[in-house]
Amino acid sequence: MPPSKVERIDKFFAALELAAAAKDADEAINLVRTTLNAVEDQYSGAPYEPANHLNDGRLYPPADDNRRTVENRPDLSRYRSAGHNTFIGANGAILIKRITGTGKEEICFSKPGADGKKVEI
Amino acid sequence: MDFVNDFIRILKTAFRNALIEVDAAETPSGESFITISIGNFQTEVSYRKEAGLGLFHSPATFGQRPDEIFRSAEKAARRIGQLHHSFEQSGVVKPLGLTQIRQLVGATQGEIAAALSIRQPSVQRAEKRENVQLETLANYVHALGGRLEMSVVFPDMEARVELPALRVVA
Repeated sequence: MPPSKVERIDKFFAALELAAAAKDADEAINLVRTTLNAVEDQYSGAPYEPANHLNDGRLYPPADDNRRTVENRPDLSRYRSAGHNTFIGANGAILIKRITGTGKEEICFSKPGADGKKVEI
Repeated sequence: MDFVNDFIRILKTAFRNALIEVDAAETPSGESFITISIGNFQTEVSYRKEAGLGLFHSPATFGQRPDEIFRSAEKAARRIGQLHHSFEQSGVVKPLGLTQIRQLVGATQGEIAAALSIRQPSVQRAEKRENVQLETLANYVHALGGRLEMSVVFPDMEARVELPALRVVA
């Protein structure tokens, strides 16, 4: 039986944890994308169709146009996706938060950048 | 953002106690997100100009795409109403079924029956049945003004399936 979406996300977080820390923001968002795409290529059973907006059984990383600026934080970018915010630091740190309601969030993944520092909000 | 504003206005009229939070895209092609809370019921809607309003009703896994897409703000708001109603009744949100599709289109069982030249109880039975015949389904959707499509998806192949039962005689 193929792994469920929740099981695939666990694999994604595990692979992201094991990967070498990113040195800057571009490297960090690229790491998120390549890691999730690799998990989904292997386990989702659905082809990569980024233009398909409807649920096709596959999970997609945040696109460039999901990016938001973070007020008073030029060192940080936020990528919004369904039920989640992915924060990327200029130092390559990654923080993924799950939105649990209007104005409420909880951390589901955090990885420091190559300088050892985590995203602090 | 006019389309999103229309959607929010309709929602606020229908659900006066709704908490609505908009996370607007920063580029014209970007995806905006609208978080909606009505009592204990919570859902999320995304909006992309080229796609429309995307409704999520399965658990929000990271990277999840919308379960349903609407290009009408009014219809999307009505669908939120259906999901909210189903949550209030049973504690779960029900995926789109034939009855919900008919109600979204605004047709009665009698109108479907007339369009298909069958009796109204037959439409009622089709809506309640868990295992509907493909031909019945194709005719039902056609009577509502839509079309039924079927496709097969494999890791290395994807194609539309053209079965005789899916061909509707207009």
